[in-house]
Amino acid sequence: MRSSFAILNDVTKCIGCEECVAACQKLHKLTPDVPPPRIETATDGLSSNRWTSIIRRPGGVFVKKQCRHCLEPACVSVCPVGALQKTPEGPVIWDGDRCIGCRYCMMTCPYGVVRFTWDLAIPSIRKCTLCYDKIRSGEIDKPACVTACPKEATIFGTREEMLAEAHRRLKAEPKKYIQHVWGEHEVGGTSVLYISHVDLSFLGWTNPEKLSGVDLPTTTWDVLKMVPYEFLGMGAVMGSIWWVIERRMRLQREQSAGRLSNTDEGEDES
Amino acid sequence: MTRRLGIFKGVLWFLFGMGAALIGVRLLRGLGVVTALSDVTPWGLWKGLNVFAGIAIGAGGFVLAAIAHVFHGEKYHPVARCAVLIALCAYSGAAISLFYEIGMPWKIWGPIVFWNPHSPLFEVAWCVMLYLNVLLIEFAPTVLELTHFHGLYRLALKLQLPAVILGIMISTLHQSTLGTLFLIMPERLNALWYTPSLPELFFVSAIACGLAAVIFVTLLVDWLYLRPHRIEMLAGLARYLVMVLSFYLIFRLGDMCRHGKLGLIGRGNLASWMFFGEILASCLIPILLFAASRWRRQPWVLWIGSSLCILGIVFNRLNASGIAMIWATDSHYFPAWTEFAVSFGLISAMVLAFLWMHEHEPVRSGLFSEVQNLRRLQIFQLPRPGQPWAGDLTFGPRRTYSLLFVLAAILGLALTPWHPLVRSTSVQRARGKNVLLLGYPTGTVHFPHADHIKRLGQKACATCHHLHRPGDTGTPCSSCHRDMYLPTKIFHHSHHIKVLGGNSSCEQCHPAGLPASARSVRPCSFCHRTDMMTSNTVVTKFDSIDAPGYRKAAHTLCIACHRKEAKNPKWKKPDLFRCATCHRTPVPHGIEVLRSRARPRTTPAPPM
Amino acid sequence: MDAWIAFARGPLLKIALLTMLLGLIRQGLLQVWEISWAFHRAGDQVVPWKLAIRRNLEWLLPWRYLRRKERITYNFISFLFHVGIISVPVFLAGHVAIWRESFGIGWWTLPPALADWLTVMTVSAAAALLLMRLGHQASRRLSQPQDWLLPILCAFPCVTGFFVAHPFLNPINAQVMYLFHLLSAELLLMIVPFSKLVHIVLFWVSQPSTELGWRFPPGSGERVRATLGKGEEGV
Repeated sequence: MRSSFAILNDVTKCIGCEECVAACQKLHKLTPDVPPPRIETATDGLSSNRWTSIIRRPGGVFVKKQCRHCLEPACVSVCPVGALQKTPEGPVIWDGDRCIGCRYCMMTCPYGVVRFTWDLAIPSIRKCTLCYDKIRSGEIDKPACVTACPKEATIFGTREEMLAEAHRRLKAEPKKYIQHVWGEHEVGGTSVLYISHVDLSFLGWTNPEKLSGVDLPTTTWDVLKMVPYEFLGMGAVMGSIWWVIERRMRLQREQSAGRLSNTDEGEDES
Repeated sequence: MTRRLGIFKGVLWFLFGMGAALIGVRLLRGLGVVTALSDVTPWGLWKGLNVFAGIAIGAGGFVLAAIAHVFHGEKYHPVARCAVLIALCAYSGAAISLFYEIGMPWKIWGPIVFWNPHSPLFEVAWCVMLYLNVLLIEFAPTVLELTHFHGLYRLALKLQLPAVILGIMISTLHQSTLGTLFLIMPERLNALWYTPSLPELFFVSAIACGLAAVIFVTLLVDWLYLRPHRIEMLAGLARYLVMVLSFYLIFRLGDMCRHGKLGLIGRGNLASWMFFGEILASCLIPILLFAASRWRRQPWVLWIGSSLCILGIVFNRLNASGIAMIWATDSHYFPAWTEFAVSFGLISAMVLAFLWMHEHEPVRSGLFSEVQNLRRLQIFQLPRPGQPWAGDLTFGPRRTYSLLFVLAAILGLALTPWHPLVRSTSVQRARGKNVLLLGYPTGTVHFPHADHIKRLGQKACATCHHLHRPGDTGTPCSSCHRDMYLPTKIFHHSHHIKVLGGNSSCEQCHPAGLPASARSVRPCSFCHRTDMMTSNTVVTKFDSIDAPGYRKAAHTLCIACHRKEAKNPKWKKPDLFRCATCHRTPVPHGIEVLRSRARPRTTPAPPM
Repeated sequence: MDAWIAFARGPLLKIALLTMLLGLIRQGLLQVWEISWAFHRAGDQVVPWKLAIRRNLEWLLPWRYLRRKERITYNFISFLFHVGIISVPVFLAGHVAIWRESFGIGWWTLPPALADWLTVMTVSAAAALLLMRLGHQASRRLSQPQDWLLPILCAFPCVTGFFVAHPFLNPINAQVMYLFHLLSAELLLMIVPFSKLVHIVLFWVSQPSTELGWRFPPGSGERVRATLGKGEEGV
């Protein structure tokens, strides 16, 4: 049992044989031959029955796409029922029994990885779990996709090991690789790392506002942590406004009438 | 019942009927059947229109409550009551649409038990739930003053002010948190809409939208029930609206200025036009129309200004929750007609509920003395035992409305596809010696036909050409497996009747004495074994009138054979069964040996 | 022809079944609503529900109206017609097979020979009912157009169904006959909620409403007339 789980994908080594896809589907008992999911399909080939896929890029480049298992996962922070959990070892796992199907996690995932079983009457979100349960129970010692890879394009270890290995490879063959480890800093860092000879920014959504080093959960938490103060502050402001106006009106009435009167009826009518 | 009200309600009942039927289909068969949502666009019209825009429209409840009760705007008391009812209907609509919009409606209680305070949606869920209860308390006096529960009525009146203030507190939270929802999607949401100030912008625009909605609904109700417009009161609200909208406009543009995004408006692309249209409808035109005190006392100005403001802010919510993400996700989502039907059906139901309450409770008056007068006149009293049977005058409309409802429901159910939509993809016939399949998601397949003949010999033809048309010996796969993914019916009933000799031939396929159904029919191979089936290792029988989709058929045949041949030492190709052997991007690549011999798309791929 | 049959078996059948089901539910709910409203306003709210329910059950069985002396033949034939028109479509082996195939539920079926004879009986009963209606002066005068049309519409699916089941007696093309069978049956299903056939569900409320009708306060008819503004003319 490792202290942290991480995967390093070396894009230059992948031959696109899709053994990892098949192994993943076999281990997690996913229906291998799914009909094309929806009218509109994500071009990355992930679906509720394909938790990892091979993206074919021009020039014979194959990129394995799967959940990145962010260090500060947006999906975990937004799930209203906590059906997604960040495990201490790193993998982000989901609980289909707790999921209510609001699909907020799918909206927030910066890589657009989380999938939904649209065709089922009792649906759920699904995504790669880095085989967390099976590794923990000792059934397997590394994720199925890593085991299945015939070219060692995908290797498994702790995040520190993988980062060190990535930088070692970048240093060893500086001409072969772009000098960047994808996943080292983006959205606060991910557990699934990439080194490549092509630009991999297509793995995330293609907004001009590129993924920065800032982790996403703080964007909402910075606002949400103010909620109690906003709540009480608004109450105090409204209460005092009511009290001031009420008092002023009462004084006015008393002045104009020149006598003390019971103002409760005025309130009742409101 | 006025004529315009009758027609209005009739249309609403029709829409409601269709929506109700489709909600039923959605609950029974799942989201995939009635929505065009996808993994790329997981939120669609239902969340954007019915939840986000619906809650913005319902904001009038807390705004008017604040004006009337906290700021002591006595002249707005009647319309405050109406606003609370609008909020009640809008929030109920949002809650109901959330119920069928989430994947598992029976787990909608989830956020009550499983807490995640880090989630904006968790906060929204709690606030909507609490606010609905607060609204009920705020609305309680309206109902209770018609009953004989005087004690409860007095209690409800005492709770009024705390409920109003609590409502404002809760509304502040969730109206702004609806903006917080999108703060976590900087990489999805277009820069014209994404800003760290989204929560504040959402809160301010919700106030404006709520005010506009109250103006609009008051106008609509007075028009429907042929009552004179209450211009003075509405003009007062329009004045507030101008203030809020001006603040919103300055705030929004100033915020963009601060982040250096003002230049994006002038880009002239779709996003900038959408942004411009939104600002024009939600702010500029209403501000201009309502600015002059003489203008805002014209009913038509109030109509146009308020409806444009609502439309603009609804458009803002739709943009923020989906439309302004199409550039990042390259999405082609357009709501299915069933989504529109459900959305408008739910809105119709809520409007009907509003009108019903409006007709049955003195929502419009709001003044206690007036209500007591009405009570004395016994206008609102239910008939008591012993009162004469005076004929049910609503008899006619009820029949008409229920008929419209049922007809719409039938139409909706009949037109809905009951199974998830699967894209039909036709299969290309092999041209020359190569099959080009545009397959999802693993790329193009090149099938080197000549190479297969050379390696496997003529005897192997039957592996793929396992079934022929009569008199044919090389029927291509695509004549039966006509769709890439869907099974194709390959049996022609009328053709068989014609060929076999008319009606007297039934018993050749349908055994005598059994009901002639597809279940009892003889298998096709009963006749076709000798003349059309050739000996084959994979397809051993032909008993189904469905040919599987091309993909399934090809995978079944090819993989079985490739697995076997991979072990054949003759070819020295142990990787033959791997996906990449067949699935490649246009230029063959991936395997080192082949890269040097890359050839154009139309020529045969090199031998494997 | 296959396309037409596919349409009649698919979407049209769905529409027809839905129309009947939802239409009947609507009629039932409206009736319950109206009766409860009437009950709410009735002068005497002591309604002998038990009696009404017992009468309902009695009307289901033939001996009550067979004991009545007038028009005994008509009543008896009407009973036979109802037995045939209900049992044959529900318990025919071919129909049950369709249920099994599409919904996985099935039940006891009629032997084919018995089903044939019941069909013949139903068709002849429908014809006899029409003729007797024609022959009886009072019924002729009371009849609406739909009273003449409905027995014919009920008999038509039976006739076509009979020929579908016996292709060798069939004078025309089997598929055309099958299409006719489908279309006529679907037409019948679709008009159920909008014609007198609605007594399929309203039968159950007829007795309670009759009982209630007796219990309006005296003179309420005049008040109805006054409310409707009809003056002295008949309501």
